[in-house]
Amino acid sequence: MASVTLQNLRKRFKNQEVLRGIDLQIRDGEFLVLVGPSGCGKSTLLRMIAGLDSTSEGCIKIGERNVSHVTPAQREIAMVFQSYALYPHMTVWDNMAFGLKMAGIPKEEQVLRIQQAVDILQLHPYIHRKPAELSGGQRQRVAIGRAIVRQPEVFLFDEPLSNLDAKLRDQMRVQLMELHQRLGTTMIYVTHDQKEAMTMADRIVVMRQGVIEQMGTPLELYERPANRFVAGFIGSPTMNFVPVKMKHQNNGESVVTLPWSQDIRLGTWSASVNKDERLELGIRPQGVLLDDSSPYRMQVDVTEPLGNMVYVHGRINGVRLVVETQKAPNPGSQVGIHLNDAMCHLFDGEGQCLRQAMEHIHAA
Amino acid sequence: MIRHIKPLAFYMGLVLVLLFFLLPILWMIGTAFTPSGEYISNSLSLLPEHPTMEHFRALWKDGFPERLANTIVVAVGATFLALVFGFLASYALVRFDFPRYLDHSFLLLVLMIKMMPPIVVAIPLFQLLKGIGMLDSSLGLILVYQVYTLPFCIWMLLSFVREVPLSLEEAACLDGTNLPKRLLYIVLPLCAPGLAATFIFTLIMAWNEFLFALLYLSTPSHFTLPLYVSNFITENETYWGQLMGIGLLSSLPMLFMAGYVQRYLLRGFTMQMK
Ligand SMILES: Nc1ncnc2c1ncn2[C@@H]1O[C@H](COP(=O)(O)OP(=O)(O)O)[C@@H](O)[C@H]1O
Ligand SMILES: [Mg+2]
Repeated sequence: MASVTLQNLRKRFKNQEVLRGIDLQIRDGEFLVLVGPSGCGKSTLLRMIAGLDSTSEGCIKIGERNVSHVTPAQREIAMVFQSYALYPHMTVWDNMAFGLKMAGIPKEEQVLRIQQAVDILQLHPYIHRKPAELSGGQRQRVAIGRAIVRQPEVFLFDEPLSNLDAKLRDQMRVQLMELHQRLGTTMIYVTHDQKEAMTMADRIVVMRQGVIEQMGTPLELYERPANRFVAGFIGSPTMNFVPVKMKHQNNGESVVTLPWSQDIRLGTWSASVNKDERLELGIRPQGVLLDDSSPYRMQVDVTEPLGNMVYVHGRINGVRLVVETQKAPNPGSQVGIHLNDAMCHLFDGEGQCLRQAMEHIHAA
Repeated sequence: MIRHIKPLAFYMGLVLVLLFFLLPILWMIGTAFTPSGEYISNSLSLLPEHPTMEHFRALWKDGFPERLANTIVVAVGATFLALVFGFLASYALVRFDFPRYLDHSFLLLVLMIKMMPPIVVAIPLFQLLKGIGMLDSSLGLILVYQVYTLPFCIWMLLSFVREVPLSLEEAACLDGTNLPKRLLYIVLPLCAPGLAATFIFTLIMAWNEFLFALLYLSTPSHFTLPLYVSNFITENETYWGQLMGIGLLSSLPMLFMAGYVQRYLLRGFTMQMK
C-alpha cells in the first residue's frame, strides 16, 4: 500500500495540452474517484500514473519513490481497463498467472494467490475457459482478479463498469467497494458517471478540460460546490440554474431578483457584486417546493414518478425547473412554487460560487 | 421452395468448377503413370492402359531426392527468414511512432519492389552473391528470394498485427513484459492465423521459383525442383512422363502442408480476437 503524489503534472499531445497542471495527494488506502465529462483527460491522467503515457512535465510519486521515469512494471500498480484487455488466447487461470510468471514468483505462491482471487471473485467454474466464452460481468471479474493477484501498491480502474448493463453495474459497484474494504489498498477509479463517484468514493476529484475543478468528499462536493460546473455535475437530477439580477446589497444583506420578479434574500457574504453582472442562482430539486398559495405559477411539462417521489419538470418565465415532490400534479396544469432561500447557491459570471446553501437535504 | 432448389444448383455448379480445375491435375497424374510410348500415340486419354512406375524409378535414380531436399531447404529457409523479419517489420510499422510519411513511403517502396519484374535486379544480385561467395548455394538463394518473400510477408502481416488491440500489449506491459516477451507471448500467438496463412503462401512462392534459381545455381546437384524439371525438356525430346512425375511429387508436399495449415487456420479464426 502506498500514497500517490502528483505534482504539477502536465501532458501535451503534439500541440494540444490535455492536462494542465494537476496537483493531487492521494492518501494511503484511499478510494479516490476521478470524475469529469468525456475528454477531460481522466484516462490520460490514469495512464500517466500507470506509466503507459509519458509525462510532459511534473512528477509522480508512489509512496516516497519518484516513478516519473520508471517502467510500468516497476511501479507496482495494477490496472483494470475499460475493455478488460484479457489475453484472448489464455484461459482465465493463465490470464491471472501471466503477470506472476513474468515476475518470477514461485509456482506454489502463484497457485496460492490465484486460488485466493478465484475465491474472492467466485471464478471457480470458469478457470479453464477462454475470455471469449465468458459474459461481460465474468470478464470484468477476471480482469479484477488479474489485478488482485499482483498484490500491487495501487489499483487503477479506467471506467471498469461502463460496458456492463445497469443491474450488473450496481452489483459490481458493491463488489468493488467490498474489495476495497477487504484489501485496504489505494484505489484510483476513473468514471464519467457521477453516481458511481458519489457512492464509491472516499474522495472525489472533479476534472474539466485538463484541470481539477474541485476535490473533496462526496458530501462536500454536493453541499459546497466551488463553482457552477461542479454544482451542475454532481447530483442527480441536476441542480436548477436560474439567471438572476442583484437588486441591492447593503449592510451585507443581499437581495436578488428572479426572472419572475420574485425577490430572494441571500443573507451576508463578503464579496461585492456589480449591479448588472450576470448571476445565476443554483437550487437543487429538493429546494423548490410546490405551494398552491404562491403567486408564482409554473407550467408542468412532464412528471417522472420514481415510486417514493416524483420529479416534476416544468417552466416558469422560460426557465426550466425540476422539482422534487411527493404527489404528482397533472401535466399541463399550473402549480405554485416556492424557493427555499436557505438552499440557494449563487454563482457569478465566471461560474465561481459566491454563496453556498446553508441547509441541505442529503441525497445520493 | 427456392431454398430447396438452390443447394442443388449450387452443388452442381461446384462440381463443374471443380472439374474445370481438377482436369489438368488428373491429366498430370495420369501421364505420370503412363509408359513412354503410350502418351504419344493415344494423345487424349486420362487413364493409362498399362500403368507403370518407370518414370518414378528413373527419377529416383537420377537424383530426384537430392533436388527435393534442396528445394525444401531453400523454400522453408526463405519462408522462415521472411516471416521473422516480415513480422518484426510490420510490428514496427504498426506500433512505433515514426512520422507518418516515413511509414507510408517505406510501405510504398516495399510495394514497388514487389511489383517490379525480378529480372531488373538480376545483375546487381549476381554481383552481390558473387561478392559474398554465395553463388550456386542454397543459402545464397534463400537470401535473394527475400526480394519476393519479404515484401509479401510485410504486407500480409501488417493487417494481422494491426488487429492486436493495443490495450492487450499495455496490459502485458503492466504485467512486467519487455518488448521481446510481449512479442513472444502476446502478439505472436494472436497473429498465429495470419502467420499460418502467410507461411503457406510464401512457401508456395519460394517452392515454385524458377528465375533466380536458374540464374544463380549452376551445379546440377544444387538444383531445385523447378530447375530440375527443365532438364527433361531437351532439344530432341520432351520427357512427359518424368516431367509429370516431378510435377506430382513436388506438389504433394505443398498439398499436405496446405491441408495441415488450413486446419490450423480455421482453428485460429474461431479462437476469436476480441
Ligand atoms: N494518444 C493521443 N494522442 C492525441 N490526443 C490524445 C491521445 N489520447 C488522448 N488524447 C486527447 O486527450 C484528451 C483527453 O483524453 P482522455 O484522457 O481519454 O479523456 P477522458 O478519459 O477523460 O474521456 C482528448 O481530447 C483526447 O482527444
Ligand atoms: Mg477515458
